[in-house]
Amino acid sequence: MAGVLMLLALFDRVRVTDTLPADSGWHEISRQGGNSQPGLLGFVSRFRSHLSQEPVLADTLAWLVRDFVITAHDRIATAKLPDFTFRFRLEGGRLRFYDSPGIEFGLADSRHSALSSLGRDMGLWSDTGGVPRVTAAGRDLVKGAFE
Amino acid sequence: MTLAVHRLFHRQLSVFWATTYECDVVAFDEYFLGQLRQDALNATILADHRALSEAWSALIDTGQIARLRRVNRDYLLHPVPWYGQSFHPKTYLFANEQVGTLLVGSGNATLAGLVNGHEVFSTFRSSDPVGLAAICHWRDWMDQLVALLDDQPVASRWVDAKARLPWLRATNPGERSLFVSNFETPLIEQFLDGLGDRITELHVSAPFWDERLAALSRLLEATRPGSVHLYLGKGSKIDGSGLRRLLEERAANARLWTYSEPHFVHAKLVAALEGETGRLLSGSANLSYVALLANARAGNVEAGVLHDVDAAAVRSLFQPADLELVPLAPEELEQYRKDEPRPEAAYPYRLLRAERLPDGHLSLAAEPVPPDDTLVTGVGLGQAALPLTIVATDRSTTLYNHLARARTVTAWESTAVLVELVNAEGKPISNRVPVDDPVALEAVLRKREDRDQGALSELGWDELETPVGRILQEL
Repeated sequence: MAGVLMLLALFDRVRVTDTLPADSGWHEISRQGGNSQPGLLGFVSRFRSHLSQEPVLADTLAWLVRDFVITAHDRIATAKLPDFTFRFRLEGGRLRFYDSPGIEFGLADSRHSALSSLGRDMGLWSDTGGVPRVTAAGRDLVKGAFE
Repeated sequence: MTLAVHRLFHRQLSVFWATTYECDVVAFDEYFLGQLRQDALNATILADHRALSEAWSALIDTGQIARLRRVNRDYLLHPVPWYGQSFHPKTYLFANEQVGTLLVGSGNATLAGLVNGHEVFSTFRSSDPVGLAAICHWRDWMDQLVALLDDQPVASRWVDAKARLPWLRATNPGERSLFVSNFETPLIEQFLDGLGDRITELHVSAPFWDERLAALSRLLEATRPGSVHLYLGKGSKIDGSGLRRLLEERAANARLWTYSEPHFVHAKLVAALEGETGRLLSGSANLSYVALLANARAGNVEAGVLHDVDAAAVRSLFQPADLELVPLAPEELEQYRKDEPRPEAAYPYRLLRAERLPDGHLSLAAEPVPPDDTLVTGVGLGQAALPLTIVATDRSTTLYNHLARARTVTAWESTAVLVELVNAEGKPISNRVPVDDPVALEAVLRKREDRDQGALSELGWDELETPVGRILQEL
């Protein structure tokens, strides 16, 4: 439920990009997408289309899980074959879960390391005596993103 | 030995011909076909009509149908409706002009069947005399099957496949092979034929067993083994209580086995040992009446491999490479339940195929003959249904007694992947089938010359399959 709320908040905030100059980097960034998953603007467009049908919350949740979790995972894992990386797969209309390879819960985002390095290089945080601290620039970014 | 089936899909092949019960269409569209070359290729799959109909419905229900871009354009996937039973053989021919490899086994044309399941396949290579004999028997069997189907696209592609494989000859008179089917004689009769009367061990592994355990009863009765070894993986569909009663009634010296890890094992194996020699039947047949005791006129279509081998080799086959065998206590049989088939969507008419004609109309084959006010519609796009001109054909085969041909009255403009028959009220009255694109299917059989492609020759097949790639090809 928290995830749906966050997506609805994101959907609402994307209107901000309409007020930005045409050469704003946000436009370029929000258009970025992949073959298997849409970028931010692509998602928002589809989300808008979905919400225009005035769905109930359960329908929205089912739509999100089906299109952006199950199908996205299936497309990406299929592209990695013959390496078998499926966590689950739709087989004959039923969702089949695989326990191999194993699922390790925790900080599993493979981009965490790259993003944290980028954030440090951009001066958003610094390492002070082994303790990570958000810099003033970082605080400004957080404030700008969530206010 | 462990066989990496996916490695058999490669770009040196000119023919891929498969029979299967289930087909994972998404996996074929997005993975397996991508491993094969993209022109001068005859890739044809025959799958069970009911299983395929369920697969189409599942793809629609889960919103995945839009992922299909290659089915019946780059390869042909046609259903086989087998009387009231199942088309169940799992055979795969990977071949080119020089050589071929035939797999006969338990694995469906799915990821579970060909990539990561617990299956058993026998491999036959045309370079080996024993292998060539088996492939030639398979060819004769396919000749018989294709003749029964009355499916012109399949028949013409079968002729094309044979023309591409000059080494694929008919069976010589009296030539024997390890390949067996139940077209004429039930598999159990072939297994028991010539078997000695001092069977020391009977070994049986299967995921599906018939409700009354008729196949196992017949095996026990015919072989009267010194001991019987039954292998049950997680989720094996068998009446555990009934099995316990049967073994007690027969006073069988039974050893029950399961596996160290709770895996579903789909392999189907029956072996009878007489001292240090043994006979093994492997392939598609489960331990059921329709698979093992009946021939194809009364039961399923099944294919397998029957060979005499030494006892040690047979015993080792019943132990998967990555699993240990663990004894199963008789009381643990209570956890096993018989198969409860899912209710089948019942339609009064079977749609067999649909084909886009050169004049833009749609041609259909259905059975039995639908009423004159039947319409055809694309699935999932909310488009208007089109009326049909329906003609009952005077041709009939043992599979189809009341075959009908139909043609849309006006041109078919829909881009829907699947079509179905509906009545005047718009209610579906048939299963769904994908629309064949005969022009694309014919084109992929031919070699695409670089000079014919111009700048397109620099693009990969996946790039050509994008919307922009398709526009460029049409230009």
